[in-house]
Amino acid sequence: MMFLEHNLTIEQLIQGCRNGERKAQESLYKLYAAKMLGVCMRYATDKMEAEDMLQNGFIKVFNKMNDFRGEGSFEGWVRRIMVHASIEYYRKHHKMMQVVDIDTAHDVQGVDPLASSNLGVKDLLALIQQLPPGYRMVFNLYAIEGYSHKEIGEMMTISEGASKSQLSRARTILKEQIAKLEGKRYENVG
Amino acid sequence: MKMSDKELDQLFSNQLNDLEVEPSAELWGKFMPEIPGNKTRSGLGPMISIAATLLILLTAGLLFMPRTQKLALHGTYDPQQTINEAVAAVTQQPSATDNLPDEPAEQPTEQQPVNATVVSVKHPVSRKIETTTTDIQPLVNPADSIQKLTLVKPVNISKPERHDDIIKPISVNTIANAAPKTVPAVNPIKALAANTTPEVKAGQAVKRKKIHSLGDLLNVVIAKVDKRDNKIIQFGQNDDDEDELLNVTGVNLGPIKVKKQN
Repeated sequence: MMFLEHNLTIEQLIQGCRNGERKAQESLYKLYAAKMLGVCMRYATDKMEAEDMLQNGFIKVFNKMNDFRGEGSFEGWVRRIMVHASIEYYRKHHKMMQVVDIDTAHDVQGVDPLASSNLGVKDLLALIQQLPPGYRMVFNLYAIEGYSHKEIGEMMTISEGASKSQLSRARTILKEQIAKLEGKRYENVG
Repeated sequence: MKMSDKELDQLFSNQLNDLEVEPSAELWGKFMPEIPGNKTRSGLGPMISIAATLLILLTAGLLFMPRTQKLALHGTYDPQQTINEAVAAVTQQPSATDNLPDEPAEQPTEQQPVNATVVSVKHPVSRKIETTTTDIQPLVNPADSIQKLTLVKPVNISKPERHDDIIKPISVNTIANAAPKTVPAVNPIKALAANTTPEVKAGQAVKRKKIHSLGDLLNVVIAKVDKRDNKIIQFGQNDDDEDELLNVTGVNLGPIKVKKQN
């Protein structure tokens, strides 16, 4: 860990960032960039989009550094900011694509079945990234982040019902895609 | 294989919750300028600035400080003033200076300061004569010496080492000119005048000059502050360049000295 190598605690890094020290900011970025890009990748369609989300998220982190009161883990605080930055990005760029016909959603491209016998991280990530943006947001927030439909409704400014509906459709698509992948794998093996 | 909703959620959560992806190398540099703050951790920056300012001020102060030489004489009168007056009297009448070796005693009362100077100088001379050779002793007019010694302040006698500045050039001259028919009492005056007149003359020359232009006025003001031979800046006459308000003829910034040769 970088901050351990430099004998700096996370508190010292935070204080350095609050003082506007470039080195502290860079160290903090390097400490969390990979983890937070992993979060953003689930909300994005590709790495380029995820990096845009990450960039916006880190700008918020550094601007709101004084808002962190030490309640809960700092990483959890940064992660929440990244999720909100991803939602904001989605609102800006994908709002028009929110309503996707369930039939067209079935036509998402399948994942390469030879990539892994069991569904690996890359396959699952690819499946999520191929979901329609609205479904992807709700599925991520509910299944992975653990937010309730009420919270998701507030965060995305949609109704609870819409959140439930989108989650249900997302699950259906994912199940179909997984079945398709496993079926192809069995075909190739057989 | 049928997968429940919960199983599906867990599959994705377990695999992707701790996902880490390395961002592009240039990403930090891309958005770093948008983050407020560019302070360095070093606290020496302001200290260095303050130190540099102090150094500049001190250097300038030492460079432009007028040089004054104080004679550490203990007495009721001011010997420096006396010397200056004597030298001024001598330089105002160059002919008197030239004639002094021949007519040392012809201006006795009017040039009282000269006598005073001579007396204060004469003491070591006469002492030197006593210690070196008796042949020279007759060269000194005994009557004159006695008359002048009456003006000697006891302090000057009791502390001869305080005359070092004056004695040195005089004693050299005394030995060098210890030829017959040389009046030692006069040579010290010449030596003294030679040593002190350049500064005094320079100052008086500026004072005596009539102020015709702004340059002259500035020269006078600068001469008041800057006592060096080469002033920090000197202005000349605008004979040719009438368009120019000031004609700079010399600049002296300590290590950098520029002087226009006329």
